[in-house]
Amino acid sequence: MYSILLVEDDEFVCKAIEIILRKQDYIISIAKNGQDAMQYLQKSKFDLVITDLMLPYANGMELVSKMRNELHLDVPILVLSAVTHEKTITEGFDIGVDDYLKKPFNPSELASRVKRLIQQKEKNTI
Amino acid sequence: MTSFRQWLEDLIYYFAYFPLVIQIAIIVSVLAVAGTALAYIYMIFFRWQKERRAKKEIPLREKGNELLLEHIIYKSVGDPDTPVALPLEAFKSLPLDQKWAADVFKSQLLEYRQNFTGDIPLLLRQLYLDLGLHREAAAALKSGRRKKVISALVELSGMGVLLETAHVLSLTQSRDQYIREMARCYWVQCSPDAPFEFFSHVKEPLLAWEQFELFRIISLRKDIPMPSFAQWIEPQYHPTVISLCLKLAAYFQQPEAIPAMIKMLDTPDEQLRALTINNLGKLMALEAEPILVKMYPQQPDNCKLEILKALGRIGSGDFISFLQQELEHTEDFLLMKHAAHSIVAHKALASNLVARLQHSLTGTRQQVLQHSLNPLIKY
Repeated sequence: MYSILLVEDDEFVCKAIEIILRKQDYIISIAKNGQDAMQYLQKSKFDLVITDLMLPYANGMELVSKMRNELHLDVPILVLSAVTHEKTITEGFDIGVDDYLKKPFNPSELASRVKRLIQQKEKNTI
Repeated sequence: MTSFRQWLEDLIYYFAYFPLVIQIAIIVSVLAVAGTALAYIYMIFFRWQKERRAKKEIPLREKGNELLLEHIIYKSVGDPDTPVALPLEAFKSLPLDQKWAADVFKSQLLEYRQNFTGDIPLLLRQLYLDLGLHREAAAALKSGRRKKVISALVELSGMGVLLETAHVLSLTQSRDQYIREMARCYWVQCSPDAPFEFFSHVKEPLLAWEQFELFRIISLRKDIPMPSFAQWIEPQYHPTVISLCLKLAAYFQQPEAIPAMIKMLDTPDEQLRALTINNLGKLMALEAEPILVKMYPQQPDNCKLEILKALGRIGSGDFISFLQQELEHTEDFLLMKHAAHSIVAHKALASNLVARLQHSLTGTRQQVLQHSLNPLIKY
């Protein structure tokens, strides 16, 4: 069973993603903002992090940057956001985002991307 | 009770003996206190009512979410070849016969449609129709009240359902500006075969925001082949329709619109002419270049500016000496800047000329050329 940290402040989106990923037998932990996410990441290990960009306290970009530069985590990061500005997306990839999915999203596509990222991580570990 | 009555009678009795200024002051004070009290009572009542409604809605929202997540979202993940069956019976357990409950559930359906792509919006639309939730909006379309018609149009367009085709088409020409605008957006978004039919009958101007919204909706429609917008780039149509179609023709890269656009260059409407020139540039209309250069001296400044920009976008190199001449001789700063920009936009075709101009130009003209050569500066 793989564990996923979902960082999202919108309850409705959280619930939907939780349902979608539970169907694929993933264990989901939810953080409502960047600060909570950092606490989770310091305490436990995750196989994937899914994060929004517009978050209270610390935004998604700051979170990704801290994960890569302060915590030195190599966990795959999938950004799920309504931000479609090309510059922001490119910046995200530059600081360590592995994949980007735009909102509104297709649940099947989310499930496939999550599966691919986790498989890739497994391959790299071996 | 008797003492209060006595007090009131005394007050009325003595009131008549007060000086006029005091009487006015008492009346104003009483009115102010009563008004404030009424405002507070209204606010408290409004908040209480809102809270009561919210409390009533919570269990229904939770139940609605549970059903939608379980039967639509959960089932849509997995095998794409297996169609998701809609368990109508489960949804019928909601008290949808009550208006407030139907409204809450409809708002949830709209929220889900906005948050997901793929098959889910279609399933939600089907559920909306199967549960008969569209009936109220269909009836409201024929209502005489503006608010009702507009909210019906918003609901139906949000759900992607087209009803009462002939009536909605007539609403696109309604005398009420708000109804007309909403009906046009709804029609363009939902009509399966002729979303642009009303373009030919527009008599009132399409406002800037309406053009913007129509453009956005049209650019998002992937389910229909786009018609040739050249058919509306004709002087007999409303200038705002022509201007919208000019932008659409350029956005969808329809070179077949170029001859119609060239004909529009004769229009006496300066703004429309400038827009036509701009879009000829975006379509990289080679055949328009000599015409634009020929008409340049007689044009007002905004059209001249657009001609220079268009020559840069088309970038054939045939009129690079014209741009050079403008850069070297014009006294208008904006024209100078755009001539320089357009020369630079010719890239390899202009590399020798640019090198020469860097040495020969002096003062402002040279600075403008240097500015245009900086790839980090867009304007």
